[in-house]
Amino acid sequence: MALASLGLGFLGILPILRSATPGTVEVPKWPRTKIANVKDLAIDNPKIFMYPLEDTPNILVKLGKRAEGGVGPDADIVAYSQVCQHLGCFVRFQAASQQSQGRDLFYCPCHAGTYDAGNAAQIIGGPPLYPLPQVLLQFDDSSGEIFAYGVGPPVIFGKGPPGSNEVWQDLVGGTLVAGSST
Amino acid sequence: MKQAVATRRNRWHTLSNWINTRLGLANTILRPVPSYSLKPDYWLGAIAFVAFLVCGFTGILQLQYYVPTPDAAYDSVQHINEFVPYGNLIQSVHLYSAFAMIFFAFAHMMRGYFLSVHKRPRELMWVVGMVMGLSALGMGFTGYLLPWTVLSKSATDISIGFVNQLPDPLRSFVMFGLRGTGTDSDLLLRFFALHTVILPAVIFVLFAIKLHMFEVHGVAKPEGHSAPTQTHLIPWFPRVLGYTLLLASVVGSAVLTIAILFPTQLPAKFTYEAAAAATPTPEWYFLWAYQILKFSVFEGQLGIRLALLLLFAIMAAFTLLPFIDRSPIRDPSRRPVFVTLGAITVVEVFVLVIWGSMTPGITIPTVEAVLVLGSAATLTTGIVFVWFRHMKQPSEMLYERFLNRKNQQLVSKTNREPARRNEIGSRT
Repeated sequence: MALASLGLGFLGILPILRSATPGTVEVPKWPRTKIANVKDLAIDNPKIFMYPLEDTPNILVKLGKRAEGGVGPDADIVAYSQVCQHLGCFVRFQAASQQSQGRDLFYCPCHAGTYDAGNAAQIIGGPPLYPLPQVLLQFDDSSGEIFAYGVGPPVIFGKGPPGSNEVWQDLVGGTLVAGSST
Repeated sequence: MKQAVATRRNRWHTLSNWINTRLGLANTILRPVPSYSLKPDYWLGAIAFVAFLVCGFTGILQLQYYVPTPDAAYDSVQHINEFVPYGNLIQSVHLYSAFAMIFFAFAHMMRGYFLSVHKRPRELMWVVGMVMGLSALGMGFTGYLLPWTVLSKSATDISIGFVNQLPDPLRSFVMFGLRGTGTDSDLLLRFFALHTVILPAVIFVLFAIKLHMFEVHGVAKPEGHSAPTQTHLIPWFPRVLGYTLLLASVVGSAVLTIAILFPTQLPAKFTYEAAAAATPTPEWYFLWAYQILKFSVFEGQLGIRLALLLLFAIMAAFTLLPFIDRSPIRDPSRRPVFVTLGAITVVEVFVLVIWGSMTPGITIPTVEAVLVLGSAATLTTGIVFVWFRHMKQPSEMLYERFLNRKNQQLVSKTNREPARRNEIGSRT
């Protein structure tokens, strides 16, 4: 009896454990952020930019041929999360001319995860289980500016359970990059 | 003249009496020790702890300059390296004494394993020691991130990537504990707090608990044919003190020499571009786990979870060893199974560490892993088996014979009989 009441008393401190978890947060809206101008982009010359938070890196690259989800005059400009979906290393862009696979790749140096840059970052080789999340881009014909306005599924590695489609988690835990909200 | 010496000695006695009356040290940590314990392998834990203290001292010096923010951390470490007087030496000594701490802690553990010091009544000493050892590994893990170099940040990201593959309530809980909301500054601050406050505090408290148990139970006397023959007690002053100071000096000067010959060189600062070009590897003391996690059987989410479960099981099994290995027999020559398992553990750790350093970032096919680990285990078992067979009475471990070689020369054959009788007497 005494033991049971003691046990119940201990249950009372359980809510304190909530202080050791993130708790509920308000999800902000996706920012709309200028990331480059088309005239500054050379083919196969990648550029790293932060979106949607200040420490979630992505790679922007002009592939020189039409690509899945590509924007720009030739629909060949794409951007993907730089964080590998296997264990969170940072991938690099490898143009078709730099390796023997015959197509443009994102390559992870940690465990050789390989993604198809021209085709929605589908997995070509290595241990990753999910493709890299694609950054949604918008091209302004008159000025040549390229804007990021969202990130497609799956969730950026580390932001939520791997492979989750609930991309709102990309926006939580960190500072949003500057930009007008969409 | 003679009288002056006598007076000085009198004063010394008065002083030491005064101190002892109040602190009682002569009844606890300054008690006489058995003569057989003046051998290096009895002091491996003490050496590890001294290395920990050296890390603490050099760490506090670095704390005067280190800035725990992602933007400034690297530059502050570089500043220590280049502009602070002896800064590079302090950093190098910090690194190599950390290596020494982990190395000697492992040696201390395996010695205890082979000589069965974890048995009654020292079970909890073993458990506390294992938690101390894991905390020391935690010190290494958290300290690696702090300079914010390409290798250290990326290696930390991978380790956290493994945690990210755990099933959910566990995943979000541990992830929040390790990196907070997920920003770089949260990550660095948490690792900084763990490395400089939480883990050192844990180690100090556990050390006090373990020292208390040691004072209660005393030195574990080895059993079997290598049991010490001379068991008279030696007062702590001056021989024990001199011996421990000598040991500490040897290890200290070795660390200092290595630090001067191979000063630390700071790798490049972390940037996303640099990280995408580098293959990060952990420090050598994690290479064994790194290599296991690279086996292709552990690919995919289920594989990663299984691998983490396996590592956890290995750690848990070692921590709870006194409750698994319950036989009262402590003589290594009468424990072939556990001695063989221990020898396999040591060999596999070395194999995995060397192999891991040779194959950074390369996934190992399962067949190859089974072949390498299997042949290493078979070979070790064979050697241990031959050893047990060929050791007629008195049978002995190679390891013990190596340590006792000097003793063997001293103890003549005629002395052996009384020694064995003595051992039988102590067992009853």
